[in-house]
Amino acid sequence: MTYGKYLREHGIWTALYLFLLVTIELFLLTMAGRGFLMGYVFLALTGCFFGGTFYEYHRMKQYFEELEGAMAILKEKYLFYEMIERQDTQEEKAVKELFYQAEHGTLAEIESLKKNSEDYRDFVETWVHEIKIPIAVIKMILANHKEADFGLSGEVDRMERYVEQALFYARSSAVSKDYLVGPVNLQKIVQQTILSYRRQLREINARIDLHDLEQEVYSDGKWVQFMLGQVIGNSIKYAPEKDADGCGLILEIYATNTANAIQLHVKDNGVGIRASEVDRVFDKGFTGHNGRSGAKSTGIGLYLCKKLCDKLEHGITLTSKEGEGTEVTFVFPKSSMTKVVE
Amino acid sequence: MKKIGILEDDEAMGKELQYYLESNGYEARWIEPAEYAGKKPEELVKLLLEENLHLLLLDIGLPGVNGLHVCKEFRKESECPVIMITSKNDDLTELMAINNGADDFVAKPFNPQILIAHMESVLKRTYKAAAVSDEMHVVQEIETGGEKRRQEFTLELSKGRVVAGNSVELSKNELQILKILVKNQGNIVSRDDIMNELWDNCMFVDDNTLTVNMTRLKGKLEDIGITGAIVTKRGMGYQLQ
Repeated sequence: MTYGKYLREHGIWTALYLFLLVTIELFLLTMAGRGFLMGYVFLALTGCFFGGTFYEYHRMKQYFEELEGAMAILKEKYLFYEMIERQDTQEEKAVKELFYQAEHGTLAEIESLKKNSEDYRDFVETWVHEIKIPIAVIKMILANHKEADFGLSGEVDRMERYVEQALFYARSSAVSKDYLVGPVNLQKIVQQTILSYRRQLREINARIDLHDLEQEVYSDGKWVQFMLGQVIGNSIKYAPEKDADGCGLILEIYATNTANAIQLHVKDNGVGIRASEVDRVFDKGFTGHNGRSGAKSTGIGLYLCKKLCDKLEHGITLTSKEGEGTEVTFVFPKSSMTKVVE
Repeated sequence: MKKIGILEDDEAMGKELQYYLESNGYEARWIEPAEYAGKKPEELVKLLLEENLHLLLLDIGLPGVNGLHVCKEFRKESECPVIMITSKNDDLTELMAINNGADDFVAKPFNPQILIAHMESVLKRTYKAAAVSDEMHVVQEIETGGEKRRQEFTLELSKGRVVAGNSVELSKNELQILKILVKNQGNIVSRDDIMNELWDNCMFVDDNTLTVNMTRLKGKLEDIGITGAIVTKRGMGYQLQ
């Protein structure tokens, strides 16, 4: 916004100014003793013209700078209306009124989207609880008729995991907070998660090394168990070839305690991830080289872990070397966690 | 025999669970929804009291009544332990179950073995009188080359050691393995069964570790003069004579 441009855009004032100046000066030319008068008229008109237009230009510039400043510090841009202070002129009033209408329209739209998403979350939540009943019945029937398993137990386990994923996906994208933060014993959670993958871990004859897990963190136990399950599930999916001892996977889970946080490490000796792909493992739908070659991947597990961690204000990192293994670290910060509890 | 009550609205689930518990050495009683249809929670509680249960498995979502409410009312009248079962697997539901007097919480779909483990630990806690003894005494008759000899040793569980004149300390895994073999003295226990039982107790061993533990256990026993106690049956498992 410059003064020059302003004058050009408001050319009518320049035209009027020039018209007045020329008309009056021509009229004065016909009079005696005109020298002084002509000079005076020239100065007066020019002064008025530039003074007046510059004042208007400056006012307008200030107004827009105020608006731009307000917009810049605003996180939710659609709430702009609330930030408009000046409404001295009718134009300014009209602008404020228009933004008022825009904001209300947007808010109504957001509200209805939020409600839709909550409704959907509720539906998924209910649906998951319903589907778990027949799954539970199938598991009971299979436990009662071990001779008729034919590998069905493994398939039911898989089904159960996908159902669980759907539930947490719905939870992760819900606006509301539906977790409960409390003390979580890492040892217990890790053991429970390992037990839920018992069949698969035993199948590949995994060597499991749990140590230094006697730690308590503040989080939602069920959420942590789900995330841990995703990571362990990946370790199983991308396990290495069996070694000379017939061991198909070495899984080491341990915790470390630093000044600011407790970290939970899940380390495996699996096929690892290419260096060029490590940065993208938390992206939704990212499957990478491993996902396309051997085991089928959906690219949802780690994405969900990241999203749930963000919601819980935990950290999650992944380091990997192709051919050597992968380590996923969950970071449970101390300060924020204790604050929540207090 | 412990009597377990099952309050579960799903017919298939109720029947299968009853059958499963019966085949695992419990007396099980599935209380069908028809028995308490249209009844108030107080009447349902009365019905439960008449059953003289040792343990109640209670589903939260029952037709017409809220399981949590039933649990609270039942708890007022009886000391019988309650395990809540629900498909709503979140910390809030678990907390509510515990606050309403439940002793434990198991989420559907559960692994039946894990349910049994939960039941066992609740039963053990509640009926301490029948607590298992801390010591296991073993007497063996071993035949080597037509010659019979007798040997004895005692397994002290809480101290984690074996005593036969001298004593030797065992690791957690070794102790558990020996305990399984002692419990099944005379029978062959497969490697798979040993592994299963170790896993049930959160000792996550693999094939190789089991072999190592087994060798060490035999070595430790021999150190204190117990020889030939455990026999390896190739392709079948192990046997404590």
